[in-house]
Amino acid sequence: MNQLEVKTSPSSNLNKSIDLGDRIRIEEVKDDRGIVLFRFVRFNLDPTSIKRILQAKKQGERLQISSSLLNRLQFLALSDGEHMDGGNRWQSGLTFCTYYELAGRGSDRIAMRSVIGLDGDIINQIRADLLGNSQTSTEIASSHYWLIERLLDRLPMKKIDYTWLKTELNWWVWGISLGLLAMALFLFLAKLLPVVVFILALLVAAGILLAFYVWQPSLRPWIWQRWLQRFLSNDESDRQRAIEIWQKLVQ
Amino acid sequence: MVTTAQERNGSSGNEKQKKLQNFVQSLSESLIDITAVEVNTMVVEEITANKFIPWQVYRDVYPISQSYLEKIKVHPTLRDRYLNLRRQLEIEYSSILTAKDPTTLQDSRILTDPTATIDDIQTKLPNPLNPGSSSQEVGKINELLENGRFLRQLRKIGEIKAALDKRNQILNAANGSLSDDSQSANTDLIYAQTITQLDGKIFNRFHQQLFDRQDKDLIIQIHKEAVNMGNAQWQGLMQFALRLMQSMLGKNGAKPNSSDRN
Repeated sequence: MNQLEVKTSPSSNLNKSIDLGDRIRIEEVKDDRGIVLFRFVRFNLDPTSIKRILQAKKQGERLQISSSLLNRLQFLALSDGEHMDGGNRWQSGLTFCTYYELAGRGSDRIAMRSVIGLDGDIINQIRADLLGNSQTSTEIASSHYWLIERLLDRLPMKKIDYTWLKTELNWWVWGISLGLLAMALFLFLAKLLPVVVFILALLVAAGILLAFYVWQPSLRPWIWQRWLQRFLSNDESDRQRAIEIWQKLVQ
Repeated sequence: MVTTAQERNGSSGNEKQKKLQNFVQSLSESLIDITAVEVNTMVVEEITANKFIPWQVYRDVYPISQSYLEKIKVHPTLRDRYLNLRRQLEIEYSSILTAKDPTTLQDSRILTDPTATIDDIQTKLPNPLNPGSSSQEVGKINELLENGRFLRQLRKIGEIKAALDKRNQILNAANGSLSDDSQSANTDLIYAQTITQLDGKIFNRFHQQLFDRQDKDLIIQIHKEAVNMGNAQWQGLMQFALRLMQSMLGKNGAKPNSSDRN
């Protein structure tokens, strides 16, 4: 199981980092009905950014990844598109494309493309005409591979934070129990409730609290099951809610 | 493929549960499937296949047979490779069926007879080409395309087929101009492949046409770097899936790691 252990990043230079801003994007290809056919990561690189990337790589700098980019990347790692009737489908491989442009001219041609499968199969493609210049092609390739490696290194969630959800649930459960108790007490004191019913209400309130604490260990699987249902739902608002919950849970 | 709103609402309970099961199963199967990291390097004339639409790939691979390839004028030197892709798809499906029900093995000639070609056997795959197919048949295909293992295999077949299609175009065009040794006939191939097994064994394979190229050293160098980075790239993805899986099972999935401050 050694293969599965957490890998610490190699000699990270914690003081320095490289920010590529919107040169790293997550793109979606949609059909005319708005169904996401495909999602992939796009790198827009030019000679200047490549120089900077190679320098960062050499000096062991970190790659700055905003939390919104990270969330979207994690989503891509779960699903690279939607079914024809809506609803996310399980990913078949992660796609990364580098577009190489000269002096801000922009480019629609892909220089390199990698597909990384969860089962360990990796396909790397490089465009033939780039090989005409050996320095440029090795530099593009190095940058492309490094960016992928940095992004995927950051992919696993550091921490899953259930506290906000637990707090929310606690409020509900205590609220309901105490509410019930208060109501019973009020009715009892107003002599509208026989003592037997009052004791019964007391027991019900205690039962709710007890059941809640007994059930708590299975809270996590329950949350994830609910989350997955939303994530796979063909209702757009459900999927949107799944994104929001993910952002709150995962750090 | 058109689902009405009523159908969707009507089928909600059971189908939702099924979707959920499929998803979790896909996730766990991907983690079980892993035996090695395989890095492939291709040189491509133009990188185009920038999407993956499972139904489309399935529809395009399903009809492949000797006579079909002749009909759509696939270059004779490539036909075996197309047939092989179709065979792989059949094998994958038969394996899935056999895993579910071992007694189906005796009807799966593709699994038991190594000489069986795709033209020899009767396909078990559901037919996507019949517009009047029953909703049961369509349902079967949809279910198949939700199977993570099948989907990954289909994706790989789709990637290789896209390169073959490109190569077919080039070869057919070169036939017209008589010069079939042009540089362009030399692309859209997997030139180098390195397999790193989990037990540490490493296998390298190179396409023979690589050694005819002037830039072979450059391609090997680029491939080498891909291999060096490949393990780390895949590990990130795998750990992500593993932690998600652990969380879903209620284990302590993601541990805070104080030494890792990215």
